[in-house]
Amino acid sequence: MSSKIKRDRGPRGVVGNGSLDTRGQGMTRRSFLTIGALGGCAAACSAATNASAQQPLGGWPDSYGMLTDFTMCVGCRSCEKACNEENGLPKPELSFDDERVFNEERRPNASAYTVVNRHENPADPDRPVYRKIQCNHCLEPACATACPIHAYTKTPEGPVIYDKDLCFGCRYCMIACPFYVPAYDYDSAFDPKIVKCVMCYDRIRDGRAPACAEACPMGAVTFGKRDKLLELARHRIEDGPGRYMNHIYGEREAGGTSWLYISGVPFTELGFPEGVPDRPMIELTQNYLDSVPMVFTVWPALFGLVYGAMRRKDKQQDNADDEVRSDGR
Amino acid sequence: MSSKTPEFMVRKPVLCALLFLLLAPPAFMSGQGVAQGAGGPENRGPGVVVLDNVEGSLGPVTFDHGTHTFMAESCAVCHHNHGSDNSRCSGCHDIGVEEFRRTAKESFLGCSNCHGSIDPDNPAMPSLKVALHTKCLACHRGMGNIGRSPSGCTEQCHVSQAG
Amino acid sequence: MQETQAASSGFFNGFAPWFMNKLLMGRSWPDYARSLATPFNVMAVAILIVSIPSFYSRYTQGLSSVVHASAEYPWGLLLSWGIFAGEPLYACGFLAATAYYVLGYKGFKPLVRLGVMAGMLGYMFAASYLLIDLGRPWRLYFPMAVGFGPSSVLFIVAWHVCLYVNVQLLEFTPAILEWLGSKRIHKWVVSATVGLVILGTVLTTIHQSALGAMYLITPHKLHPLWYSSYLPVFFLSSAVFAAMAFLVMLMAVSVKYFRHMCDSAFVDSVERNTITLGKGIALSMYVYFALKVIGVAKDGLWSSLATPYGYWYLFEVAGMLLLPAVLMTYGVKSSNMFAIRAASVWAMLGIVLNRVNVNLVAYNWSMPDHFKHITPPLPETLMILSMITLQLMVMRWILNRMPVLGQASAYRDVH
Repeated sequence: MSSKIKRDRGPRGVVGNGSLDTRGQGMTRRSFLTIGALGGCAAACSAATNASAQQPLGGWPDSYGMLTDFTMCVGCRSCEKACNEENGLPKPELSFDDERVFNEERRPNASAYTVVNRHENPADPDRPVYRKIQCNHCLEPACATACPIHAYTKTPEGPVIYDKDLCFGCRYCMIACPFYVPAYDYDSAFDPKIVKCVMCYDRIRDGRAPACAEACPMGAVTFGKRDKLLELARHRIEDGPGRYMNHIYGEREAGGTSWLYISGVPFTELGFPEGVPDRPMIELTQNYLDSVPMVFTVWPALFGLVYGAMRRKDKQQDNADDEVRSDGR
Repeated sequence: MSSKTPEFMVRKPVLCALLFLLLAPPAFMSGQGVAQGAGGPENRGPGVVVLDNVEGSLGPVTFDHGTHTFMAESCAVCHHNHGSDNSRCSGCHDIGVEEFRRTAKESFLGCSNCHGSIDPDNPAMPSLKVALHTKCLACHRGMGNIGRSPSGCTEQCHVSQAG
Repeated sequence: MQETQAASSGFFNGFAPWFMNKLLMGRSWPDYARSLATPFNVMAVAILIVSIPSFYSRYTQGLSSVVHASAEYPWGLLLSWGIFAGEPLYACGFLAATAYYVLGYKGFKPLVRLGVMAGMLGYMFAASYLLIDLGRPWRLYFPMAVGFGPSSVLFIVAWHVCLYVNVQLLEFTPAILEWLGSKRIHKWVVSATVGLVILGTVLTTIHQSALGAMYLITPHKLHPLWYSSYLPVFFLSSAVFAAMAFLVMLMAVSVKYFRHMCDSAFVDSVERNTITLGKGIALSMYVYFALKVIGVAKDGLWSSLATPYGYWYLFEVAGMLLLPAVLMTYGVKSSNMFAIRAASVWAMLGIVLNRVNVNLVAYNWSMPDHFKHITPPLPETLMILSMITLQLMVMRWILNRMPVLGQASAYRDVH
């Protein structure tokens, strides 16, 4: 056996003092191919399972929602006042009776979960349109998708709630939210936190309506089951074709939101963002996230293969050099 | 209402209005507030109704039902399910056709008979507060600050509770 | 070894003098103190002192006192420079190590330690930018231990950067151990290196692409020329040449300012490695350019190029990507070190510009008063300058003491 090996110059060749026999050692061609094939299979398997795992998102049957009808809002700001009292928020600079707040366009901030803004009504200058802004409680919230700590939860009842004991203030949710909803308390050094409407989740669990819905005297803000609200919105639009835009905002935007809107003026004129996709925001990153396990599977196999090939090449080079040296002697 | 108007009523409207108020039957509205005064054979309902289940810093509303009955074209303007096409009688009344002719004119339902608190399973049904405001502001919106700024709430309707 | 014997013979007789010897590089106190009076040091200390009020105000009065952040603009130059622009450069560790250990570029051996050191330091500093920018920096470790949000791309970034820093630290420990004079642990760590390097390639691939993937969730907020479903691929492929360009610059700085720490193997390899890297940079820049063109073509954005933001995009892609690539090609063909180095710096500036564009310029591009919102206030700029200064000072400290640019003589035959 040893005499047969001694002068063999093939890949498993042993030359000189027999110390370079690669049969028992490290990588051989067979094991390269095995690893490569295994890696490829694993990648293919993970790709196949990923394809079947892209199931449609289930939705939230029987969850609650809210409907804001901008044709009915009179700008009394009872909703802002009720929200402020219900959540123990600091009293604002200008009181809830003061009309001067309408001189500038506000947005929810660290001390106000909701605000009402006044907009010009192109159809009737004497009757401005008022828009109430707050979290839309999306069915598949981008904030919950984006939060690396799982500080947001979409509850089965409908509200998207937030746990300030988890948040570390990365503010990626603010980047992700298509409606620019979450506000951050930048003024605080020791207790900064995200601030947003939680649709009075505690009240809903007690069987009551959120504070703003209960406060609104005009029925501009309505609380109910989301599918019932959709029906109501459709009826109102059908019964009043000249009165409403033929669109329920939130039915499909960002994959559907729990807070729906109907309006007499185009939504973009009220400051609603343009270009929000009709799919849940999570779908935009799912493909990328699915590829992460593939990299973990394929890269080591690939680079291991290359490493092994390089090692083999070096050993062959060393073998050839040793041969030249020993022959030259 | 009777179509035969005695001649002397046309000549002395104030006296006759008072007469009607005194002779109207007692209020039947339950849970809504206290009705004062009485109606006449024309059955105009209660005279003045105090709506006092108002929460928060706005006080009760003293509603002059009698005056409004003169201004409305028909009872159905406010009691909107009566004489309107909006819904079927059987939705609220558990009566047959014969009984309807006899009792309908004597059984106007108050707002709170159908409108109550917010019902999430039926959001198309406004709550009592929303129903009242929607009805009232249909005409009153624009009078002074009503429906235009919160200061309008106490101009004609709510008693201000603010100290 | 003389040093370990000294270290073991009691604290004041052995350890303390040994430790001071290591710190002061064998000099006496007065001598060392005098050597510190250089123009760079004076400027560095001045910057650090001037920035102290900004740091103080950030930690006692909240972020609003130092940045222009709002609900629409939660992130500013701090994160854009500190993390998004820095990370592609700090992939130099992954690149040098993978090239040497896995791809068989034997000539890169002197470069590996330098790359790993710069990369590891860079990642640690990137994490410290978070300590400034996070609302609650004392909760920095939360995604590792307290709350898991695996549907979040940022979760992926956090985990992979954290693991990668540890991998790099392990890769760098041989240098630290040689400095401290330890042999046994040293041998064990060296044998684990290849596995660590391969793990490093996985982690780098994922977190570099994840930084781009973070913006996939903002399709209507990012200008269409910068938003693409290819964002992860763009960020990964630009990180490749950013890392190589950074290595070229590191080598140039090392032989100019740290010659006394370089051994002959390092110095002799600089020219050859610069040219090799130059070829790699040019190739990957052309590939990245092609990817960008495909990105524009597949979304049908040709007409957008004729808008103001389109011109800015053309400036970034033609002026800060294609032109340096051409200069690099020329430098490589004619073996012109200056051209290669100049093109590397130009390419790195182009990368920084791209990241700042994605984070700040193209994000919310259609909002009113957009440029006012993205302009950083003075305190933020001071904090960034002081962080850069600190990073340079720490890197200098390490290069002057640890065997990064040259092997310590007792360890030369180990690997």
